[in-house]
Amino acid sequence: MPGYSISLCSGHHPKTEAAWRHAIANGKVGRVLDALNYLQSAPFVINEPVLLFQRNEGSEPIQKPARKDMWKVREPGPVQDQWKEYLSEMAREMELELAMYIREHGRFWIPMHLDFRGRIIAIPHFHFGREDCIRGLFLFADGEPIGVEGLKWLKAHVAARADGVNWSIKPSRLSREQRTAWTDENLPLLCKIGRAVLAGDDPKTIQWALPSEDDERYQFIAACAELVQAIDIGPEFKTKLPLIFDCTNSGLQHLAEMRRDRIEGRWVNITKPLDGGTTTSPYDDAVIEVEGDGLNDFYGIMAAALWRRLFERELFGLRDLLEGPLDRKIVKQPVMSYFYGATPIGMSDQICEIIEKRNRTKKKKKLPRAEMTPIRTFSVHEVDGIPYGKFANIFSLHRVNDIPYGTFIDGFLPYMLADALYKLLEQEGAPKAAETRNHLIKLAELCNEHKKILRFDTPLGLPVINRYFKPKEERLICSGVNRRRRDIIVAIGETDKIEKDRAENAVAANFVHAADAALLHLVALAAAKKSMPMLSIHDCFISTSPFAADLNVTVRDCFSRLHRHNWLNTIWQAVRKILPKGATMPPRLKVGDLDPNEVKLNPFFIN
Amino acid sequence: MAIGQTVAASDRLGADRETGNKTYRDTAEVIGNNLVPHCRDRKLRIEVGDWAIERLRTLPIFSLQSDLTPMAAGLSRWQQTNGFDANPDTLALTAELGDVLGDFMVEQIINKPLLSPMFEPPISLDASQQGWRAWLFHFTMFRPSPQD
Repeated sequence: MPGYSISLCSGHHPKTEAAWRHAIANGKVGRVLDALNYLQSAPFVINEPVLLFQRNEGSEPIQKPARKDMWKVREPGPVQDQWKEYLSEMAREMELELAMYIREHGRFWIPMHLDFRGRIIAIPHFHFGREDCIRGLFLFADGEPIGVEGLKWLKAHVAARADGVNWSIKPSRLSREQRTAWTDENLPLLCKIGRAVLAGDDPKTIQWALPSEDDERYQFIAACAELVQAIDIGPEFKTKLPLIFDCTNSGLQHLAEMRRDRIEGRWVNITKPLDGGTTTSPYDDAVIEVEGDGLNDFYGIMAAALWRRLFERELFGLRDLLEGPLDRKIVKQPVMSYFYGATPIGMSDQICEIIEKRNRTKKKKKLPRAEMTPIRTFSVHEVDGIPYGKFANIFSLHRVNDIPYGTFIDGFLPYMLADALYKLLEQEGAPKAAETRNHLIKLAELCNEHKKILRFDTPLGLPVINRYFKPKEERLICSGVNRRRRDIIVAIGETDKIEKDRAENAVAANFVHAADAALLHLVALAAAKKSMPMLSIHDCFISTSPFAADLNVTVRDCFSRLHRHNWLNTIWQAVRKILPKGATMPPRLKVGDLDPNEVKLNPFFIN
Repeated sequence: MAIGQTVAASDRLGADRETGNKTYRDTAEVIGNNLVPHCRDRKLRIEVGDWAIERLRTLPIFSLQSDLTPMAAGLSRWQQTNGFDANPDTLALTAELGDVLGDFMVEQIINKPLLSPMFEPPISLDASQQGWRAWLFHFTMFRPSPQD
């Protein structure tokens, strides 16, 4: 019988492992291990109707690209796109085969381990945190009677997954009651979809009513199938479908709660809800004065504010990258990652990814693509072989009919957009959170100056070490193409020198991730006490519909408990402890008057 | 055997540089290069490759193209003419290899904990039961083979 050894700490950080060993030996992290044990003990089964639907759907076979063009794969272009498409199709086929095999075995479990910040990560590649087509295949193995209240949560879940359908507005923008009402309104169609999936009908018959593959298509059909069974059988129906509840920008939630800031806290639902049940008020703050339906959350507000800022700064070219003034989708990922310490470069990559995805869809529909690199060509003059011009140092020179031309790349548009968004968040969007980020970076800088490693413990006792050392490298000489010498540099360990830039850039991310992880540990422990089936994807909490209301309350309660003590003070004191006495510490950050218990009154905290 | 599989599966290795078509001579040369990398005599390298191909053909997973396609069967082989003319009769993989590799892949995917989930509950990490030194940072996952 084959056995595999996998580290409890993903990434094999020797110093983190040593610190954890010590903490485990002293019995400090018992609760973290209990949380991990509970999460990995949940059994699952494959959602057979959805698997069958995916197999019947069978997209058109993609022709394998020519092998002679393999060398072009490394360069971006049509050959790389063809190979990407082909390989992703092959990978998907393999996943479906694997799912078929798992289905034959019945129950299965997902083993998990921790990353160095304490976040719980699934070990196998086949897990719930993957994309929609895999996520739609998961069901809890043990069901619970859905009940009347559970059915309402399931209806809200169906609506939330129906964002990509082209026969309705986007229901995920609605409140929970409105989502339930939306499902009731469209019940005949949703039941028809669910029945077709359960009966294994040809997917083409309901193709028109489904979201596209870029949206949550398979989770939507899984929800419809569950809904139709719940309606047919009644409140005794044992539901197994995992319902996802996502925190409203968890990074900002933690930072705002640490600063006890009421304004930023209100945008992410950690304050008392406003009258009328709306979660945020876009109209009474300095950020934005745009009217629109999409302005019901922080991302929507930031999208509108970005649109306005681009207008003010006359950056009209950048507005071509956005799909209207409320392009929440393009803004969401960068804004979310900003609070995890993302730089404009990282945010630009995320924007690029979305634009490329959109361009692929546009190509299929034969629409003009959004250009990311506008190239301007202009003439220059040359004296004694030296080109002169305003941008003489940043253009490439070429000649046409003996006339010199310079090609000047006017910045990378997604980067410029990311930069504008970064400044917007720093100056107007969330200045307090930005201040906290900078404070953490200062603490990391101070540690680097004194050649110390920043380290702190989470409230559950798990040591988190912000350790980044320069790698110990070795040069390998290999034979490359046509027997040419090719040097490869391989990291074989780490030196004692701290990698300052990485340590400073990563500190905010590690701190917020550690807070996220601590919240998850607390929620998992609470769920274990209540025997509530639970799953998580970092800041998303997942359970079945009968437990949905309880999960919502539990998460808020745990969040309030987590932030009872001041995390920022903890890290400040941890740094004070490791630095010599004469070191000048930055002043502690001032905190506001927000009560951490207020979050218990806001059901929109997770949605 | 590894180089035999690589050459047989590749469109580039074992192909004539000018025409781009696979030939017996170039296939034998690639295999010979791997077996006697320091040999400077090209003819000798090809002869070594020829001998290796004959040995590989005794295995069920290898065959010559002429054995698989009747069109090439009438063409003379290099070892018959003992010349260096390009011959389209090249080393090929039989369908059996595909089956062997397919089964191997499936077994690997199913048994790899990094790819597929487990079919029994994971071991609970409890320091008090097992002693923290015993399992610390390395908990072992056992999984049955597909035959079980």
